[in-house]
Amino acid sequence: MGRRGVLRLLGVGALGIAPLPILPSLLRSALSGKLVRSRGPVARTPDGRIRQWSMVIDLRRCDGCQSVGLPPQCTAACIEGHFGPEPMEWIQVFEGDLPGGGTQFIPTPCQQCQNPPCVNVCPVAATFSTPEGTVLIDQERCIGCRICMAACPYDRRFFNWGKAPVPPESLMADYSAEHQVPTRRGTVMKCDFCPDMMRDGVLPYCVQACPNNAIYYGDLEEDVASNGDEIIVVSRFLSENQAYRIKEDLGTKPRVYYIPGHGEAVGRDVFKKGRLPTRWPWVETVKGARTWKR
Amino acid sequence: MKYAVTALLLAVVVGTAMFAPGGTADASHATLKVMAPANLTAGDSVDIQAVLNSAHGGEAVPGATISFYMDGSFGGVEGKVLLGQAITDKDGVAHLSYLPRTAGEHQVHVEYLTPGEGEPEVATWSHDVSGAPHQFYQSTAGVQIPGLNVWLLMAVLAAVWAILLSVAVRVIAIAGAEPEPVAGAPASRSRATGDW
Amino acid sequence: MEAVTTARERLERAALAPVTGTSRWYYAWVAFLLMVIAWGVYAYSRQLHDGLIVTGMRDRISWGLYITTFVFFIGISHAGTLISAILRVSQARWRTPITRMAEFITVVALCCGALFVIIDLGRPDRVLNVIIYGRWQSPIIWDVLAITTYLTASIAYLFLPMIPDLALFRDRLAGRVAGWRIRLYDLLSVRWQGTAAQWRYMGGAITTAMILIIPIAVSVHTVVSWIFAMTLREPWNSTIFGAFFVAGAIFSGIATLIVVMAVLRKVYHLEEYITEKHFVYLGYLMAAFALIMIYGNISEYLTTGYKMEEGAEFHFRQLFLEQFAGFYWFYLIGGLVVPGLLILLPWTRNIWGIVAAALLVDAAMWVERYFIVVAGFRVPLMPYKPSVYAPTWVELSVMAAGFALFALLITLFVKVFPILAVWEVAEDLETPELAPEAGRLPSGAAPEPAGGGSR
Repeated sequence: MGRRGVLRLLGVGALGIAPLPILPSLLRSALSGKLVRSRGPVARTPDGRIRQWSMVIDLRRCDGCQSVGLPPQCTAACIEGHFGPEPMEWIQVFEGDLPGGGTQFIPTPCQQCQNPPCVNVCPVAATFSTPEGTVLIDQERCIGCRICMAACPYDRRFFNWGKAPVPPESLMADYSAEHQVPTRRGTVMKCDFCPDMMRDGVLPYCVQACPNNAIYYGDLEEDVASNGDEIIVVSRFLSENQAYRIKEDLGTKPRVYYIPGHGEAVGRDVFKKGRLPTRWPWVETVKGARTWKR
Repeated sequence: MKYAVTALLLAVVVGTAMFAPGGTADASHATLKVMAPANLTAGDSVDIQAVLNSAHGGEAVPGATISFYMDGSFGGVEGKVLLGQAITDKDGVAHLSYLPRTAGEHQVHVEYLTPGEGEPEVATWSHDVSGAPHQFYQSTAGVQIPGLNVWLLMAVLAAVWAILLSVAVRVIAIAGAEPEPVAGAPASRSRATGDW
Repeated sequence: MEAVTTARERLERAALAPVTGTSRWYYAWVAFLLMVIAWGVYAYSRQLHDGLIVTGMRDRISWGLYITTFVFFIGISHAGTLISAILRVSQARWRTPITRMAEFITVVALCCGALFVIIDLGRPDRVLNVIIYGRWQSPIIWDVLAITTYLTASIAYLFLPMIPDLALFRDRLAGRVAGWRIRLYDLLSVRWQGTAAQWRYMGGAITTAMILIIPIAVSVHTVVSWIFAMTLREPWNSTIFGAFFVAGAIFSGIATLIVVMAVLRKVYHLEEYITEKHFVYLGYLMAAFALIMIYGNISEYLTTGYKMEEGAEFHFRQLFLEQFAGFYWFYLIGGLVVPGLLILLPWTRNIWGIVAAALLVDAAMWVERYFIVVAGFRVPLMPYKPSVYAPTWVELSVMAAGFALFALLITLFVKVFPILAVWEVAEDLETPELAPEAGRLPSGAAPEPAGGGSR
């Protein structure tokens, strides 16, 4: 054929590289039908609009469960409902300092950002945003690179460093990205906003468990939220009570709003510091449980 | 005796008439009326006006707190949803901005609790909302800049790999090059290893 | 003519010597490296069995030694780009004896670096997900793309100028070494006969590769820096990370090249070709980059510290005064100032001084990556007490095995492939220039311009 012919042929071959970016998509469709598995249908309002899940946490009512003499009940209920392994606190009650020396308790679930740094950096789309605005993790796809943990500015992602101590009943659950039971070693987990419960009209564990009804869970599309006791109109509630979001200037646009306070509505004195540490019920029951410190 | 019974019956009738429920609420001290359109479109905000007049003389009652409620259910909880509260101005009118989102027939209850009274005055505004459902809430995250997306990255990558492939092509060309006639051992050795 | 042929024969003998004779020390060295690697493999097997809990990494500090070493190896892979490509583009003739080593360091370092990312994964069994489900928008995918592109380009760039030397091996070593090697040289020299057409093809290919590899190399360490700079953490949320990391990469690459050069020169008696001049020139380049790194440090810390945003105060305290102070000041003084002085002061500007400077630089650059990763993670994001990271024996063993693998690959390469770019050095020798003089520069003399022909 001669050199020129070979060169021409291979030049054409060079053009053939151009469609290579399509190769991953071809592989994907060959190997599995959907991009991410294991989540239910999109939650909708009665007239078919897509729900936009959000939370409003009224810090005027949160006293870190000091008044009930227990560890924070939102965390405890979430751990119980998800068989959360130690030391994961998917909703974690931080104690922040206030000007003047007092403290406030800040229950912090995954902030479900609308510009989520974790989703932006994930190499395999194992963590993804849903149409309802929540951020979920597919533990079947996560490769455990932990760049999402580096990216999250709220310290809300947890890694399964070892085989997590969970009770045997958790192993019988059907895994879903909306209800991350059982855990998978070597993957990342976090608060999933319980969309599976809300789809059926049941408020999440943390909302139900709060003794002061401080956590409202709502739908920005229908503009309502409930804390288990009353229903509020979200837009008005946020505007009239100077609602804010944590680290607003980072531009992550979270779906979790806070009403400033320090538990005054339930009688907490702002200088009464400290809350009881969280407990995980199954460490004693799981044989050979090996846990770790965060 | 007959007159006493008639007077009693008359008092009962008049008393009942005074307390009859209707589109407006009659109380011993104030009447409450709602003025708002009966047909709305989903997504268009309207101004609900609640007018509070005193029962005697009908003059406006300013500075009164009026509450606006709807019935709702969410997350397994059912009950009254407070849409908002407003204070009547000097004309006795309280304004509340209301944005209907769901199509269908709805009712807004307007309540005024006279200080000292046990029962609030309630007026109901029924309205019909029409309009096809569309998403109201839009996330504001992100900026779309045309052309600045992953296709640019793919194009750059394809270009680089095409150039690398052309380098590989030259290697194959080296292998396929016709050998020159051998002119003598020393000359070819020097050509093979360094004369360029 | 006679003198030149003798010089050529000496050159060829020097290039062939490592391949034909193996000393006992060689076997001992390889055995030692294999033992270190075996221990590292055992440590990694423990990690596969028990999970990453055997490391010291936890939720708050979720990257440690593995990512540090990954960034370090990708950094030193810039040795080849600088020496081979940039110096070739600028036609610096003194580069010729060291280009082969530089190019090979690049390839080996890239392989070792890529290995560490996979070692760091929580689910290495799912590593193919990166290809099947890869997202173009992720910095990790940019890493994968850039490193594979750079690896391919580097292998091409290592291989192309080696073709004539492989042909030399093929011609000279027939009957003197094992048959499989002759077949290997035969295959890899792609029927090189030194015809004019073949020189043309090779020249064109090298020109293309050398120009292309410079932006590829810059992009590689830039995207590696972006796995940090694309996050919102206080010490990493900086726009200069890309440039800073590239400068640091070239810096550590030069240092590694100096060290490897010194070792190979000693072991294989290449003093005639790798002279003090080479060390001094590379030393000057290293000193220039030390100044660039000092500038980068000032840029970063002065602009952050002047404003003292939330988080910056904590980071400054931990980096300059408390937990990481030892690391930082060793890096700044021991890794930037002292090597700069060693090179710039005439009394220490000799082979020993420059190799010492290079060792300090390599150590300091690893330390710099360490405190960038670990101290960066340590700044608290919410109101909690900062954590502590302490690497475990697993991480230290695997890291040692990684360095041993790096050394082993270079050791094996030297046994199989030509360590000097024979044809380039010969071309340098044959070109009529100033009379050859002794290799050692008189102290205090200004170095000759790059085009000078002294050996």
